[in-house]
Amino acid sequence: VFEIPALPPSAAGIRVYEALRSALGAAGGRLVIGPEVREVQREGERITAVTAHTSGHASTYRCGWVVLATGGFHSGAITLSSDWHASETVLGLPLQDMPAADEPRFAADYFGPQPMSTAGVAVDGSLRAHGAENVFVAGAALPGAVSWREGSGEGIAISSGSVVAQAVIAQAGAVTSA
Amino acid sequence: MIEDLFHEELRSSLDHCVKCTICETICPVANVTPLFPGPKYAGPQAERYRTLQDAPEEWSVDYCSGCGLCTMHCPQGVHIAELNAHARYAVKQRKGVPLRDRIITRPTVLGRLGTPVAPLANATLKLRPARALAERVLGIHRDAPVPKFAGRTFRAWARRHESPAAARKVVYFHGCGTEYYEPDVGKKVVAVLEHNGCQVEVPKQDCCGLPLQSSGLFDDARKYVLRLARSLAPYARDGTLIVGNATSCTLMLKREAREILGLEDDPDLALVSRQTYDICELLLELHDRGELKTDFAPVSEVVAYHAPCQQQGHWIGKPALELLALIPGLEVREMNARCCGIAGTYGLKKEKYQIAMDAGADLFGQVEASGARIVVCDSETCRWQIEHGTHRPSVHPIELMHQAYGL
Repeated sequence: VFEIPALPPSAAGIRVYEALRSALGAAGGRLVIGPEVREVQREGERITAVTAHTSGHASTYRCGWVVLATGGFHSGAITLSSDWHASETVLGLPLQDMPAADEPRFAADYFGPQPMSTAGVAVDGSLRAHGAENVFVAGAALPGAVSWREGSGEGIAISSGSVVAQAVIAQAGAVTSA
Repeated sequence: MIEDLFHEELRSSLDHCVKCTICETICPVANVTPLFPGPKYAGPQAERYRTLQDAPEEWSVDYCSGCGLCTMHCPQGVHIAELNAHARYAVKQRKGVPLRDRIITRPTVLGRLGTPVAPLANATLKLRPARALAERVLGIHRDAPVPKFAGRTFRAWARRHESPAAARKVVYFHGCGTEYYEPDVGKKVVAVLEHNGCQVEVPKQDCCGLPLQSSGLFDDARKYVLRLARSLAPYARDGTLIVGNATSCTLMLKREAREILGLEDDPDLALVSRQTYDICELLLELHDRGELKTDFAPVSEVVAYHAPCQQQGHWIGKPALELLALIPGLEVREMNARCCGIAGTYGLKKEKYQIAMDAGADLFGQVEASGARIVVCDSETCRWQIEHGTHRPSVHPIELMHQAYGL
């Protein structure tokens, strides 16, 4: 018996969410759903705090690490301006796998390979963002995949989420024992 | 017309819907009744067929309870609940608003009438024949949980109470539930704030207009919320924080009035919105800064905690859980049911009572299984529904803090 992480409403997805939510609660973590992160504070290449806009005022959270899991183009995580300039909308991180300036961004065949679809936030082999040493990237914000053609979106989400969590745990452990 | 312009802004969000159905999965109403087709169908999908000239007749959207969970969980930022609130307003504009909805949505009017004759009013509300009559004539369900008038108002106490001078001043927005039904909760809020070095001022205030808004009476709701904003704005302008224990009413001030009633441009409301805090939110912020007193005596009790939908709508997490965890001996079981069902006045209505009870059944079952003797919850109407559905007392988190502080 095995489970396929399918499109929402995914029973497997709901189970994973509930398991993670209760594990976080048991560990004394704080889960805040809803606010939008609009400003960040930096020290060199580190993000030291994020400011989240709640229903009323803004709240600032200091942070050791940031996981960017904001999705791709269709979630508003990456935008493309009318002069063909693409950017990551929350932290302004550099992108990779963008079609070169003289290459076509989109193909006429809707279901064909779309060059622009592979664009994502530039990361190293451990999914750490370029230009921000304590930011990891998970899910559809990652470059390289054309998930709707490959059927790989949910698989990338769950596996990159796990990889990123392990990376943060490894670093946090190193900091705690240092 | 304010509706037209503002409505276009809301509508522009519907194109972001990718039909993922997360809102359908989370909707407490669509999960228990076929009368409401679900937030996605009633919201972004049906909205495409609604025009200002020729809106289709659809009462189904009136079965949306307005809990707002759909908007909160939408990963695409579609204003689903707000679109549905507007569709509900449009239906009621054309079809008329029942007399009942004009009565039960004015808590200050009911409070002023009921308070002087509280023993008589409370006794009448307990009489089965009276409730049967109220159901037939007004459409208020005979079994629906209606609160008991306290017979004295919170303000009567607050007028005599002198809050000791302190460096930090806060304004207390107590809401109608505290004023007419639960003045003791208000006294406890004041005591806990004073214990933590706050001088509490209680300015003159009236209803925030939320019940009117959720029944589609937008024009009346605007009058109420703007009047409240005018009386709170002078304090907000000085930088004073406004704190409230009625979590749905503080959410009205923070966001719902601006978004649903199209009042984004009102400067007083914008100012009040930024300065308003839920009581638990404020206390946890004090704790995060190391400024909350933690001289709690042990409370040996097992309690269940339910975060109301409207508390979740503040987008601040569940601060009550972290505050209650500071009390030694107190064992808190977090419920993960969606909603208690009541949604303010929704579950009082004859045609919606059973839907509200079915929507709350998951929570009632979880409370039963938890072994908790008391249910903690931040909203008064939810507490009354929870007491009705679980036969257990339900208290505001501040009441347990008050007890543990020994105030």
